[in-house]
Amino acid sequence: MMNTAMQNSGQLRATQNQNNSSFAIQTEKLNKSYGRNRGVIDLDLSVYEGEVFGFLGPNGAGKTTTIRMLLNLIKPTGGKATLLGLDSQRDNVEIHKHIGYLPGEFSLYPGLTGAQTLAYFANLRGVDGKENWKYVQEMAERLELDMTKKFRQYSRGNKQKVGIILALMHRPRLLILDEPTSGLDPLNQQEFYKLVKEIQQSGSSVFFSSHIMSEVEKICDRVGIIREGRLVKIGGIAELTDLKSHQLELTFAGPVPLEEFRQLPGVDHLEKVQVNSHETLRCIVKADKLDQVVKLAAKYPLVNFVSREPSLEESFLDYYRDESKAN
Amino acid sequence: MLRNIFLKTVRDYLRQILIWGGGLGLLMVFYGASYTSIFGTGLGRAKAIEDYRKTVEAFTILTGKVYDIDTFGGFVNNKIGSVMPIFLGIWVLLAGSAIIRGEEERGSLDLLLSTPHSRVSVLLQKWAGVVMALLMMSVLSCVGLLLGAAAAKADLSVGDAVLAHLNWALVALVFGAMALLFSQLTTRKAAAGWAGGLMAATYLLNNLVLNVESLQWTKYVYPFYYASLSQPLARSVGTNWVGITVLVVIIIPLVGLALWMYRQRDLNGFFELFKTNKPLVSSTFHKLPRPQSLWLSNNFTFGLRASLTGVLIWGLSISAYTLLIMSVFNDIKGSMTDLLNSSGDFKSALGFLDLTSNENLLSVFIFVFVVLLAAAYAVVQVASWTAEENEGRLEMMLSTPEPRSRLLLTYFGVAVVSSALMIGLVGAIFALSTWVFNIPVNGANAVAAFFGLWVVCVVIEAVGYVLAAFGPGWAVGVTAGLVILSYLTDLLEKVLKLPQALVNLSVFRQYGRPLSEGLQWTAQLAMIALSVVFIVIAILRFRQRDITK
Repeated sequence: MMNTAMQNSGQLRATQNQNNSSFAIQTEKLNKSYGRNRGVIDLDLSVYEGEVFGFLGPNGAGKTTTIRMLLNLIKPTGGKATLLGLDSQRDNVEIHKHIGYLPGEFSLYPGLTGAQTLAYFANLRGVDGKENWKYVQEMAERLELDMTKKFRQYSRGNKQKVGIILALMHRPRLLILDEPTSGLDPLNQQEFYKLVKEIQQSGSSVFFSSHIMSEVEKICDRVGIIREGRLVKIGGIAELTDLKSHQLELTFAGPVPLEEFRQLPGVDHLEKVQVNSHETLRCIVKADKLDQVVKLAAKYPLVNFVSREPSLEESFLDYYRDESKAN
Repeated sequence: MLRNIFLKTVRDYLRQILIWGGGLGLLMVFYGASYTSIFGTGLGRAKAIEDYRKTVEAFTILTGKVYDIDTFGGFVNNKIGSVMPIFLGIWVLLAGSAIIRGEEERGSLDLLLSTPHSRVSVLLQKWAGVVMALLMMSVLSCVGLLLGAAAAKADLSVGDAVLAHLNWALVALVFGAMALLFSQLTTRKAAAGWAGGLMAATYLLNNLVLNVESLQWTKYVYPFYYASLSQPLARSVGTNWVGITVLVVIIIPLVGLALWMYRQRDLNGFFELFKTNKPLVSSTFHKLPRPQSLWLSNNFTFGLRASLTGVLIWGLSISAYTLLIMSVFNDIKGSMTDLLNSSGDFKSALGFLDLTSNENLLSVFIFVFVVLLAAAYAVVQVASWTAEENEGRLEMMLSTPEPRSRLLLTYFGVAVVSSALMIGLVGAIFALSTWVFNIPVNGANAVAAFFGLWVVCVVIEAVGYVLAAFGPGWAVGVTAGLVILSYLTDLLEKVLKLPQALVNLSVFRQYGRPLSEGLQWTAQLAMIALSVVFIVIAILRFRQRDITK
């Protein structure tokens, strides 16, 4: 209940910021090429202050390259990016005061304990005071991190927890996370989602890359999909879901002409299964073409109709499949 | 080459085999070919050989006992054979420390052990791969030696050349096996460090006991003693199969013990000699107070704290060698005086030194090596910097509000200060030992000599940093290569008839012999100025380039 309220509050703020055009991240024609290979191509992206933005794409799509350009870890070969209204290259030190970052892969000092690592980075960030350390302790407790262990003794998941706390410990205005739940067990993933929502509620923005759709659906206000270096889709979660398909299972009392359904636009993966005297048609239908399928089905003795709303993950896979076909 | 672990290991070493083995082979060709030019063939040959013999016998502490110097085999044996176990040993101990621990630290051993191969099989196949790689290097070196003999038109049998390489390879393998054993107890770097330290110490001690009767009894614990029993290239000594057998016998239990520890311990853990029963999780593990240590307060103090172990290990190891020399200094000086009195030509053969002077003797026996070790320390400092990026920590560091230029300068500052601390430690112990052993030296020159060591470190570190700004992946290798080239340029100037302008580029030439001749201050200032330029270039480049990891 509380989470829903928090989410609503964050989304409300994000909507207000959209109206006010207050951006946490904005890129214009951002490019990165590696010789002949293009890492990111003409990326135009806006992330509003106060929103949680999911950056989706399969492996090698350009998610990490984009993030590393935002952080000024790699230099764009074209275009520009601003974070919190500041130029990502010129003002990178000022930007870094206000952001928290969790890389997709990272390593820290093997001989330092978790507590020493966190204290060291707190010092580098100029984070003082008991309150901040209390926050560190609270996060360690919630994520069940033993801070007495040396970094080399941590499992992958525990290393990830250290990284998450490092990114959050100074309550940044903008949080940039590259596949943050990788290595976390489901319980800790849930705790992490709560932390993200809390930081959003406190007014911060979150930009995170992922290829796990369920977590994107759960915590994001808006989503951008990147494929082969290009931003192919951007919009609200609901908006994206509407664009996606429905999985239909239609059972008829007698035979139905398969070809008639096949000829309908927006129908894919059509198959027919015969069970006794009944015939069952299964297909995937674009959401905006659903009514045509229903109207056609109504002409035949329909005994059962099952429509399943696909998850973002399934839709995402469909989207990629369709794009690949088109290409 | 990917059919099994053994072949894969050999495959991984192919490039190193070509570089190390090929390099040693070229060195062999060069030294072999220089045999005729050094001794000549005319009437003066006998005298040249006699002078040369006296010269090298004065340096047995560095090269070991001299045999058959008048023959091609004896000449090569003295000139390069004496240090071949060190050249091969450095490679093999780095490999030995990495075959298991290196894979663990990279995180790839878990996957390897998930295949149907036992730990025993993995370790033995990898060790066999190291042995095979070492043999392949030795083959390349052996071919170089035979080519050198052919160029000098000298009589050298293939069998003797092979046996000599076998002897060198075996003593090198002893230290590789030690590194493998130590790597079960500690990290890869520490294991390599301890094995390397033992190799250097036992090498010098083995040579030292030749001149110090009271320490003779200790020789039986030095692997180099058993290697020195065989001198296949010197026919008057030949091959001692007992010595070779002892070396093999030493290697087997070392590898066996490493294997036993490896089977007992946890993956990514260390073998514990004394098991402690710590609670798995402390009840207040997430209520820890914030660590308040001063060294955690910023990058500089953090880096300096991290370098302190190295400062102590390097500083104390070098000092141990210095103390050893100082403790027998008067014996060495006595034998040098006798040698000078016995031959008027000896002094001219040495060319530059009056070896009855404390400063000159200490220059030869201490500073010639210490400057090389200081250079190696500087390369290690460069490696510490590149490791931040290569091991994936720099990305996290650069997400803090720290400008790249300041970060680079801070790390460079740590390198420069830690070099000063290490050299200062050696200098302080050296000063103390001159007082304890009553060996008066020119104080101003001594201070200059240690300051010069620091300048050598600074310039090498600056070169390393500028290279790292362009390519952190290859910077350490190229820096180390440049240091070796610089050393060889200074060492082989006359033999290779190198142009003076090229020789002057050598940092070792610019260091000179400050304890006896004073420091060339203009050169030192120029090197410091050059270092500043290098660091400015490094910053400019580092600010612009992509972070690789």
